[in-house]
Amino acid sequence: MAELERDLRDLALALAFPPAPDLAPAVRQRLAARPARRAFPLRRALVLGTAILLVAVGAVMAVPQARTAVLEWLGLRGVTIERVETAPTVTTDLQDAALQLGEPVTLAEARSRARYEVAVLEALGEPDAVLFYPRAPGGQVSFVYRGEDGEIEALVSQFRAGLDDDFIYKSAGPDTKVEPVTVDGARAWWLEGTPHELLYVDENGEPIFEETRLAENTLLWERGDSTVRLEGDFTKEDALRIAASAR
Amino acid sequence: MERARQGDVSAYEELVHRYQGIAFRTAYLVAGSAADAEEAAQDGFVKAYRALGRFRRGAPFRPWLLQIVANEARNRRRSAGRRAGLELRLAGEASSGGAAPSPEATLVAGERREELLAALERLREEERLVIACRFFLDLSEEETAAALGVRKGTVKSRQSRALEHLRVELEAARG
Repeated sequence: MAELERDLRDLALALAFPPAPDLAPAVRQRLAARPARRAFPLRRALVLGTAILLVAVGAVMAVPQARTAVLEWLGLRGVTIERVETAPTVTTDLQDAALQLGEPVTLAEARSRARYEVAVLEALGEPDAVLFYPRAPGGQVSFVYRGEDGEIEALVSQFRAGLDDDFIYKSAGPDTKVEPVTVDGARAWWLEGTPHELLYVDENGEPIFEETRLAENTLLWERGDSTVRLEGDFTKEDALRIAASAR
Repeated sequence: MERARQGDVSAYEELVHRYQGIAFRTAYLVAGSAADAEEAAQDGFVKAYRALGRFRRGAPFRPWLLQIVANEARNRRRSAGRRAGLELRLAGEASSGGAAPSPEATLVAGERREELLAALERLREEERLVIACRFFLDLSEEETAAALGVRKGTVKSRQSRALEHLRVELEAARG
């Protein structure tokens, strides 16, 4: 066996990997679109929106190797939305993703375990399942709503986000509409169209890879010290009406 | 590292320089395409930076980065529907160092390597990858576990199984 291991190490020396490209320029351009990790306040985001867009477009032209260059950074507490040129790859959909949202609990249990005030969206009625995911900041509570055919029609997730931590990382492709809106006076984002990609980071800094999934139209808003995400095949008006029914 | 955590992009750029080689090669092994590997490594660096605020202070950066990069690479391979072959070949001038060997010895060594590479391609994907991470990229068990998304104990057992299977494949090939 030792000989085999020696042969493998010898083989390693003789192997031809494709030459590694210099990634630094492209990474720098993408990070420059939003230098600090701190999510900036909405008002500033709106004012800066156009400027960032222009800078980033300039950057893309200057650095052709930035294949998925950032076109826009939009911040919401606990959430970063990166606007990219190419739509993210998607491997699973909402139906599969819901299976990974944590353990089934009762609403009362979810309320006692979450470290924030858990909202229910009255317009959606009783959820078919309540799930709790302890690794998310403050614990993530999800409500799953199924249609008559058993398919998931709506998914509501809520977590407590730190002010300068990105808990959810989304990237949106060119066909995704990203629009600032307000819910009950609080800042919110409406994402509509092609899939957006998600990356989670838990409280210990471990990246959590729920399968990259197809998030359907999404409304994200801040409520008290938590952030709420509503996903489903809704129009913007319906989503805003549902969000307004939060109690 | 600490400066990068605090949002210093130029400090982070040093980390990119230091780790881009290993990030790209890890992504290449997993994705099986240079273009996908480049995108996966680039996206991995950007995402890792965004997540630095939650990175555990004092923890090693490399396995954490490789975990993010390898996951990006896996997503790309899956969406391209590509079989995960090693896509590796021998460099034209393979030298294992030392004095210049005789042409005959070079030929024998070359054949031996071809044989080993071919046997490796016949292993199951998970076994092939664990061998490639450990022996070709020289990743630690912890880094291999992070890159392949499995526990460290799994890396140990999978590696010894893979070596055993590789030996059997070689014996069969050599008659």
